[in-house]
Amino acid sequence: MTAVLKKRALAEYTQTIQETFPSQPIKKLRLVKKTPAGTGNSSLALISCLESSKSSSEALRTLLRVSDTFELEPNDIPEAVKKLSDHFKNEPESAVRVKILSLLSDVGHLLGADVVAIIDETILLLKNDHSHKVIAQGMNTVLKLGKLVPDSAAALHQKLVDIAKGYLKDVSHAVKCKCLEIIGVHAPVCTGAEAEKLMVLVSLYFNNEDARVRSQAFSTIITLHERSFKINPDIYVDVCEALKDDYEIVRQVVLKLVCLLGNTYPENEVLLPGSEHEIRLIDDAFGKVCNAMSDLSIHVRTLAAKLLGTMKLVSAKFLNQTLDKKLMSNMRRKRTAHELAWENVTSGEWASGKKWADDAPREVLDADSINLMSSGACGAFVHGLEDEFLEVRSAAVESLCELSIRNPQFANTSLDFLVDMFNDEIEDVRLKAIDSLRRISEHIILRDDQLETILGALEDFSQDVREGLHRMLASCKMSTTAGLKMCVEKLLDNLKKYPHDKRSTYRCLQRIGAQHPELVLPLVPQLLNIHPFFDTAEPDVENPQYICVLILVLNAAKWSPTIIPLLEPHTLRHYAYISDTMPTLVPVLSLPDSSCNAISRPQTVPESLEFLNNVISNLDMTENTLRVQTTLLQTAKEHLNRLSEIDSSVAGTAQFTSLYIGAQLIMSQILEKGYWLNPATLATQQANNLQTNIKNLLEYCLKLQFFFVGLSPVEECTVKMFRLRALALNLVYIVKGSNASALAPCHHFLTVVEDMQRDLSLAGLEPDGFTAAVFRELSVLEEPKPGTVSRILIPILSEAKLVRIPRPNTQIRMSSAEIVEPTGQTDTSLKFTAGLVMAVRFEAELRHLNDPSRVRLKVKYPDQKTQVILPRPAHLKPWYLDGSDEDSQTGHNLRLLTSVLVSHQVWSEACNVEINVALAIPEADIGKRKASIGATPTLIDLCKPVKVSVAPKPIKRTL
Amino acid sequence: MPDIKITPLGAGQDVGRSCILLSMGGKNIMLDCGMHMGFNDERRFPDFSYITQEGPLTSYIDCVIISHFHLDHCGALPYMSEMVGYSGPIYMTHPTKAIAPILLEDMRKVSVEKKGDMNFFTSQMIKDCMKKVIAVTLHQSLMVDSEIEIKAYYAGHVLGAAMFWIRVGSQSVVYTGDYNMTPDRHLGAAWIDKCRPDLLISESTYATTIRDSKRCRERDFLKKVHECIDRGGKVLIPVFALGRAQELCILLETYWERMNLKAPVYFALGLTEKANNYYKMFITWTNQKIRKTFVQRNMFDFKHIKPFDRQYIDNPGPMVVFATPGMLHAGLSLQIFKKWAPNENNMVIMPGFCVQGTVGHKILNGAKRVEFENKQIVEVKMSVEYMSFSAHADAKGIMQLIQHCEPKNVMLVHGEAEKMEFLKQKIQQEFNLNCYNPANGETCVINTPVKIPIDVSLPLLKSEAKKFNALPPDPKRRRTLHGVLVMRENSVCLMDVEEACREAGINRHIIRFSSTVHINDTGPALSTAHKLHVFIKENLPQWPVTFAEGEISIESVLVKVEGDENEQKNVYVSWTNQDEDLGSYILNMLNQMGQ
Repeated sequence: MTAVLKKRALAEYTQTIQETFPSQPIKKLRLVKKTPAGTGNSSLALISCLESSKSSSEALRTLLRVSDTFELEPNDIPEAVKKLSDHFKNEPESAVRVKILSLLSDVGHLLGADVVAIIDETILLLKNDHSHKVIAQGMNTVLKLGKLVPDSAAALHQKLVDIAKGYLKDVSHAVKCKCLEIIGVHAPVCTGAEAEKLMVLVSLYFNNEDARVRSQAFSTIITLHERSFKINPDIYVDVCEALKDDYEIVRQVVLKLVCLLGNTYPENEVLLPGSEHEIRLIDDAFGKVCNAMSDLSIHVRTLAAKLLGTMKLVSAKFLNQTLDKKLMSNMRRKRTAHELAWENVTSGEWASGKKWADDAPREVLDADSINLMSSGACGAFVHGLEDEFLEVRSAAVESLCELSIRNPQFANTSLDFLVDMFNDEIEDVRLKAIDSLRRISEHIILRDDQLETILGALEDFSQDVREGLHRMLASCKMSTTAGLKMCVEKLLDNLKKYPHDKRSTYRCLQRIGAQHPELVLPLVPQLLNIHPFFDTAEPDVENPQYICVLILVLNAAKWSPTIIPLLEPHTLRHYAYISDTMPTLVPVLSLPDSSCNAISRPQTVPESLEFLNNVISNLDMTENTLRVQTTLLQTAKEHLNRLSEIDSSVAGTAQFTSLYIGAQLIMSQILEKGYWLNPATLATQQANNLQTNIKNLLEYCLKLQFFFVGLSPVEECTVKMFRLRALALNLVYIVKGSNASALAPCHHFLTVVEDMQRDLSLAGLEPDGFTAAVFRELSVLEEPKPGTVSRILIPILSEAKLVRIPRPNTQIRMSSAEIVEPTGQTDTSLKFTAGLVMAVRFEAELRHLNDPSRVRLKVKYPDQKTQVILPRPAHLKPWYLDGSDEDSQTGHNLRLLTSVLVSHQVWSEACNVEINVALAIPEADIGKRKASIGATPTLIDLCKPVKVSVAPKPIKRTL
Repeated sequence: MPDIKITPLGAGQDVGRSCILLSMGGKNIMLDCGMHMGFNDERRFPDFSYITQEGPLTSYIDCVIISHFHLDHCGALPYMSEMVGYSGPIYMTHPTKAIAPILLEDMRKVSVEKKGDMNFFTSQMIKDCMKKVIAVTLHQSLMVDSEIEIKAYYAGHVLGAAMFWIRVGSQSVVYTGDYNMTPDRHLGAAWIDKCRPDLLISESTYATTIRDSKRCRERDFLKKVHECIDRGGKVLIPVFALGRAQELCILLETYWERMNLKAPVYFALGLTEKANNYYKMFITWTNQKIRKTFVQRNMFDFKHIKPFDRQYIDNPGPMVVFATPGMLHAGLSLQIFKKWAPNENNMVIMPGFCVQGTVGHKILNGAKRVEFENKQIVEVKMSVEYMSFSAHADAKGIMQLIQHCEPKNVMLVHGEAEKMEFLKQKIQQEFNLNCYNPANGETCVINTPVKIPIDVSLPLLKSEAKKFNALPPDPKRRRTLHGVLVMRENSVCLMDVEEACREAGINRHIIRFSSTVHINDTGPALSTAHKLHVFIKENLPQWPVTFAEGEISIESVLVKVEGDENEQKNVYVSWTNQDEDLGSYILNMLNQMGQ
């Protein structure tokens, strides 16, 4: 390692000047890296060994070694190809020849290889070969290399296709498959008779004796379609024949093709076999895919279930059949449980639940009228949802949802089935069903009995299921007040059982209230315990149940003005309290007598942006003495901090700017005092101060770099340039003030300079005064030793002025974390047996993260021992803020739901353990001071730690 | 014509004592050997005297196959093997072999000790019988002797239930036993590949029923139990020991897990505990979920379900109890019922059908007061629910199985006659297959096509493939093979002509037919030949026509022109025996041309 570093530090810097008109020449600094000698040509050397290999197995071994360490210089490629092909011609063993051809394909993928020449060479080599394996591999090579040639070279592609057609006559299935694949991938796009001819040629292989060839022929047609060839819908009949194939690989591809044809030519008419009826092609294809839902093979069934969701143009008649299963019992018609439920509701009487024969069969069916193997769509989804394998079931749920979104009537029928899936044995399927129901919720109004079954699932132990249900309930419409009451009661009950669900329940009730004001209205007195003439006790405003009810009522009140007069005075007071503590959950209500508690909440206003602009431009205008400027900056920083609290829309920018100003302040403070120039002479305290200052400065830089998303290149470069300055300061400090080796920091600084130059040129930006000076000075430097570098840097640093503060960019968001649990407010301490492990539930909401993989949990024990925990990826779930979709957010919003394991030896009393969320920055500059690798990565806290009181108890010896 | 003969000794147009005799290719196979639960006399066992009046059956039966452990499929096995006498192989799956003796022993106890039956098999006989059993694994192809091959497929229904594919020579039969095409909480669905047997013998218990989705019923069941628990009630679920009991256990166990319920669930001990052990062991026979999760936790290691003790009956607070027997006619379940019935908070859930006369039947029909033998009267205030979970394929399932395995004939057994009639019609209508439903003792003969397997030498096939593939592809073109059929001692083989000659040590003689046609055409012979070449080419566009040294050749047909200038030309046409068609066609053509 040190050797490499030394080499890098001692490497030459050359100056290249690019003479591009009219743009100004950008000076380039380049660290010349010497290529390690002797390793680059290893592959070629190995290939050369081929000549001397005595036996085929030896040659094969050599070739395998070549492919293990594959590395070729562009100018060696022709030679390598030539050597390989020479050996090919003299090689008796087909396995070796196969390997050579596959190597040729690898060679062709290298940068700078002449692909066309290699293709020609391959074709030439194949000419006299008789081994099927070799020809198949040759075709494979041609296929892969052909993909590298742009589509515009139609002549070459045509040539490949012609060759493939020639080899189609081969007996082996492998060769035939590859040839068909080449035809599919490379046939130049054409139309009319020519395309027709190609299709006919491929379709002749639909009935080949080998299943693999048949399968490939069908997928070639699909490939051709994807490449915008027009498929003749007449092949539909032939294709459907192949659905009965014995091999699942064929059935799978055919199923795709049938679906494709159906979606491409939905309106074509096809004749029903055995009758005069004509139906739409899409309907027929839909029926065929539905039939495949009862296929032997799970893969075919899964595919069929998936494909059903894509066939959105199918007529409603066929669609509704998919959920239809005629029940009978002993030849008598029987109603399904769903129908029974529906009848109970419409007839106004409820299921007695007492009679064991209340689903007794009714009318006698005519034996001839029953079609057991009813072709077509009948009951396809019923089968799919009952399937043995979760893959099929979950695909069926998805498709059901997709189709329901487009068809309100179907959505209503499918509702019962989706609700049934809440009871699936696999949690993923249950979750999917819940989510599907949420997605189709705009089409459906829940009946009370349906709501009841849905609410039954609410008691699930899995938090995901419960929260999914909360989201679903929030977006559903309910039909009656009784239903709504049941729902609210169940939610409140559940909250008692699972107090963690507080936030999710709040949000759910907020939406329910806003959606059903007229249903909430009659419930208000009941929910809030309002008595007509007695004053009831004032409920505790911290009680989650009561907050739930308040949220529901207040959100309904927004849309139903008659609610407010019903409320008691203390409720209104509580409203004021809640709207201050949980502003997102309650709407702004216009209260009649709001003289006392009118709160004017500053909403997002354009003024705040203007203010921000003002603050920043004021800083720019003043060209004052350092002292005045420092004061100005100080004030500006405070302004900005306050602003970030007030207005969320510019908070990110304000925070960014304030942080930047803070960093500048530290920098100017250090520079002003002048100690940094000769730290060796300082007293201990001053030296310590300086060291802390520099450390703080570097930390500020890290925060600027890693805490923000939505930075434009301008801002990014500004930050980086500032960081460069801080690093320069650091380097000088190390060289001057300590006797530690400065080689590593110097090397690091140089790398940063190099990166900086590349970044600037990429973004097309001008370096600021300091950076430009650094570039200039370093480029003339002979040997970048730490001493010389720092000597150069000192004047630049002391002369350079503070840079302008970047213009406000409202896209900027600052990463933040909010620890929801533990709250740190409980008095009780958690007890556990010392030495064993205790899990502490931990929930945090992380906003606007740059890179989720950096998130760490930090646990700090009272003895100052710190543990850093990498949360499991499964515990970090994407989290969508209300109403926002995946694309509309900047950065990653995540929800961290995990349990932190705490363990310690015996303590005499309970102490606080601090837990917080931090970002790990292994590449941080602070850690780079020493060249040691594997040191603990730098962590920057995302939020304030939360304290958990913990008491490890000694083991009780009961024996 | 070779045929397959089937005679049901039991389960023909009937449910109970399944026993079907199958004979094909000179082999006799017995499928299942069950007893009838409805009879107590000799009718409970199949009539083995049909096979032979006296003496052991070993010389008449080549093997016995048992599909699963239910007593109506294996109950008569010790009787047959030990008392009637059979020492040949008996095949069943591993779980069946493990569980069947437990059930047999239990049944023996009930009939001998409780009912005082004489002339019944003993425990030792059960053990001896089980020693003759050979266990098979799913999809394992097993040769019984040099000709019989059997293979088991998964059938759902109960743990270890299998369908058997049996082949003798070129004839094959699939016997389904009982099967279930819809998966349940602990077992998967029956599965078979496209084996295209000559005959499919299928059960048809639910021939006239199409069932609703199971989920609805499960949800109802769980909801009712949950509600009862919530109001502090006790739930009694009378069950039979095996099969459904495990399904309900799994159902409740997962629900308890999901909902984090704390109320205790008890399982009355006995037979079931032993059986549960086997369920734990035979994880590969269960459904996807249990199979996939058993590494973390075996689903049959019930966390919430604990063994029951009689003194728990009076425990306060909610609980769920599974107790045998299923029809509330005796035993623990009845005892618990008597205690709990007067409380309206409690509930009893009947998971199956109840025979007339039992307490279960009475309360299902809404009886509010039940009187017992000792004049004891119990008020039934607890709620009574009925929840049926059945593990047989319904009509749709049966049709689906037929569709999957594509048999040439279908036979229905194990069902009621009039229900079978309906399904039989449907099978004939919709699949266009012959369908049979013989009664007990009635023999059914099914003709199968004669198939003669012939070995073809590889070079012959390869050269044909090469030739065929070299031509432009045409799916309709016939593929022909020229060869010699060689019959040796007991094998038939198709060989290349040359090869056959060499092997037989015969010099090959080629017969050529030749004929001369006279043509009046002036000019040199060569030009006539050219003209003929053009002419033949026009008339035979499909064939490769070559012209070399004045001779035209098409395959083995040679056309040669001889004669001087200005003279009548002699056109020789000659062809070999194989190309007789082509040769005579060309000759004819030339003759016609002359006219």
